[in-house]
Amino acid sequence: MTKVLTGNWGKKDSHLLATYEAGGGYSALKKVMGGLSPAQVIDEVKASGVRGRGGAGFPAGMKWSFVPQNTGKPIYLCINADESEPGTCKDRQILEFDPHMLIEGAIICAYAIRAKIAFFYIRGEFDLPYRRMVKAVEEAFAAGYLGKNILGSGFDLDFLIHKGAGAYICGEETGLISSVEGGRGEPKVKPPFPAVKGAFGCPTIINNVETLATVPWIINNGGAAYKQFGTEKSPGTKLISVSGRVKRPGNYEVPLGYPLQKLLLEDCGGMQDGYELKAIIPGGSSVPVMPAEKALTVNLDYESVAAAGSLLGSGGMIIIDHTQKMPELLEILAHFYSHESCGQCTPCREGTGWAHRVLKKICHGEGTKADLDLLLSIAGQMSGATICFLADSLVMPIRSFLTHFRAEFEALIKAEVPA
Amino acid sequence: MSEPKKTVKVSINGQELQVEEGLPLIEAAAQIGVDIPRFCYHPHLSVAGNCRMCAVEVDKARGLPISCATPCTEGLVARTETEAVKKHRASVMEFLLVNHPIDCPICDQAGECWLQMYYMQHDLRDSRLGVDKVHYDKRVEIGPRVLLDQERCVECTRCIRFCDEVPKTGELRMANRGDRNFITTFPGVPLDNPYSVNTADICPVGALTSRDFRFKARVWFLKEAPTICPGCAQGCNVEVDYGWHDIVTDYNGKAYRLRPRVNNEVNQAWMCDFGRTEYHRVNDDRIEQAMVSGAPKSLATAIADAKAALDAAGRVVIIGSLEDTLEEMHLLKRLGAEQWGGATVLCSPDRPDGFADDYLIRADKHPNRRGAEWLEMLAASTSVAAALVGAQAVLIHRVDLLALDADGAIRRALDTIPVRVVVAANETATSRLATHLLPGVSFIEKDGHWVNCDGRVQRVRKGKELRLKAGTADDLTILAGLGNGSLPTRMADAFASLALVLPELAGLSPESITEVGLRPVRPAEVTER
Repeated sequence: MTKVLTGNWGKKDSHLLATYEAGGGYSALKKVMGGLSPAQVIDEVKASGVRGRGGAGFPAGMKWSFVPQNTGKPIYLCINADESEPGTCKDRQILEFDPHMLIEGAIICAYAIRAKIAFFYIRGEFDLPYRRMVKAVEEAFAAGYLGKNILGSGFDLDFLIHKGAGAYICGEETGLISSVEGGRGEPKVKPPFPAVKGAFGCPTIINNVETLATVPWIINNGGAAYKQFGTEKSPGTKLISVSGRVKRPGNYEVPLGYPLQKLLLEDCGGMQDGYELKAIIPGGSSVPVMPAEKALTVNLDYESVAAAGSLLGSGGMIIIDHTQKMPELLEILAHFYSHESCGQCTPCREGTGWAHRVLKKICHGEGTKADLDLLLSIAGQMSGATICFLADSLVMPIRSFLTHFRAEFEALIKAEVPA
Repeated sequence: MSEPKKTVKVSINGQELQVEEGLPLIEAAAQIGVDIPRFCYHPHLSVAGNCRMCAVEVDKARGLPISCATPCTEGLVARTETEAVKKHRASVMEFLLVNHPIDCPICDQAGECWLQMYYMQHDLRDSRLGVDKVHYDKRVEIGPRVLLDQERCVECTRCIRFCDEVPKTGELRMANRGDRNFITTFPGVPLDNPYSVNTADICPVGALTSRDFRFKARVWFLKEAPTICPGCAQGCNVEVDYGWHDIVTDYNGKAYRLRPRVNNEVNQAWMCDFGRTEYHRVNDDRIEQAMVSGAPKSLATAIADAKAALDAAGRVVIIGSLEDTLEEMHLLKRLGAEQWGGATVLCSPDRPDGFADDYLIRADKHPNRRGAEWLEMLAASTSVAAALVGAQAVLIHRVDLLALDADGAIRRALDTIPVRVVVAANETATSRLATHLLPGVSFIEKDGHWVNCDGRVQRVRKGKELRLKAGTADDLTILAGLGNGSLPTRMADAFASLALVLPELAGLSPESITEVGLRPVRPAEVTER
């Protein structure tokens, strides 16, 4: 099948400008600068129906059209390469193998929204991707794809690389903005939304790496061509990061709507010998877990996964095998989210830590039956009560783990001594 | 002039009202007496939206939006007391108490703590915690005047926003994340700006406490006197907290602290750290025994003796202070004109100019210099000595003349005057020179008016429950006692008498001076003067 995102992966020196150009790279940018108006670019992206690949799945073209052009303020583009959702490693490989594809997409996006500065926010732990991006950006500046008067069009774009310091919450778009501004990575109260009031109080568009990396293909081949992949409501292809005890873990580009079972059994080669599939977290650690039998029936598009009770999210697919203990996994997740909570909103700051301590107690065999209900109660009290979705990212695992695997938790509960 | 803001119609709990467009819903609710609980929201600071306590139901909104960050728009319908809202508040309270040490018995904030108040109003359940609390440092000296208990903190960030937005010094920051986060300062940069104690005032819990007030009094033994800070010419509106309790009488009559009182025309919701020390003079070095020629006398006898001595003198000089109320200054003037015909009447400064900034702190450390100007009584301290030359008696009201007597000229002049009547609340170098010492009252024990540096007349108010110390009397009573019986002893009467002669107060009464004070429209001739 046609590869939208991974076509260059595996080529020798795929990260270098020469390789990218040899494969037709920057032709989309030349097409845009050769005579497409910003509105035409937005229309093409809208026509493709491509949805934000960071996890929320908001239509990208629509988002771009929200930028008010009459404020007199500068407009910024933020490229979200924080990729902090556990289980997700797709953006990392785009940056490692095809950084110019992202840069080209970002330039086209900046042109469409009339941004003159792009902030590239990269996860602090990403070393190779960071070095490759720095190199690629230098190449792009030298080749005239970035900087003043790009390709003689009169359009200017500066491209700033901002390295994060290792915070999950800086992948949340307003948390990212706070960090770019030089503050603590704390999400901001919405509304106002970033498209209206974002970085430094100016209109800002934030897009995921994978989203922007699809843009050159869409411009080259047309929105309609992109739409032929995937399903009607979830068009295009998506990178799925498969981790866990399968024979061939890794990133797979599949058209949306691809059967999960096919991906798992054919592409990944099934489970490693001696391991049985127990459950799957399909879209990064924050989405609800699905028991194996349920998971194997779904197709990988936003609607199907949601209908089956989980979310496609970022496409970070975590495979859980029969040797893994669900209470321990949930304890790890709760530790992660309590550790990563920025701490501003009361329910998240206190709730994630409390839930983690209760889970620790349960895992140590010191829990009571009431603790399981307490966990659900804490989850209920956190849900939807905060500025961003971090608290809900723990709520969904707590609820789904306890719904589908309650017996494992009850097995750890110490026998109640009659009074 | 800016355009008048558009008003919109909103409905809160079924009650419709017109409010300014964009007003935070929490403020609109306050306008009709609906108090939405909050920790992080403060009307004089930016919105943080982190405590989540003020969430309410709003039609067409997803979930429960927070009312501090919900601007009023046309047709907005909100409900603040539904089951969902109540459940949410109880939930936030439970979360806030998860890692709170609940050490109320040793906490200064107890009695004025929002956690206590809201727990009683919105939660009132047993703890379900079942696991350990996160522990932190309970005594962090973040500044010379403020202490931090990191365990009690609810991370509302009011103090951080205050330092960023009001003094703009930015000393405070949040460190770490999640339930391990805590307020802290940068290394080597303590919380030491001139407004630092405001952070303790706005701290809704016992995390930030004033080191001056720490462990001094339980707040339920305190009453408040809404008055004016005497510390400088700005005239910040304050509450003076003084002890008054019918059964536990140990605290009675003592002042414990000054806190700012909101007046958006003068000091918004703040006051400086210097002003806060002004309460000490209510307690310290008070004169409570009338003396005549070194011998204790009853106050009535001493007043009579002083009056006789003044009446007998050929030339009387009267010197008031720049802390005298307008009413006291007026009585001094009338005494000079009516009692001891043609006596010189002046008001003299007794504090040197000090630190000033572009916000609330004025170099002039007297609260009523402008009042003395209006009454044409203001004298430079350097001209006092000259005025005293040849006097046979001097009536000194409150002012510590020797405080600004660098060359000793005032002291030498006073030594030559045989009758030195001093009316004062506190012992000073000047009061020790008195031949007749008459104990007056402190600024929280009297009623009157001061005029601040902007010409705003503001009410100085006696604490309602305060009874005067035995052996002292209100200054107006003492001053009237030195007259021939025609002088007013009540503040309102003195004000009325003054309003007849002072153009700035023409037609006004104490009742017409509102909560925010009043800047009289000055008649043309007054402006020219």
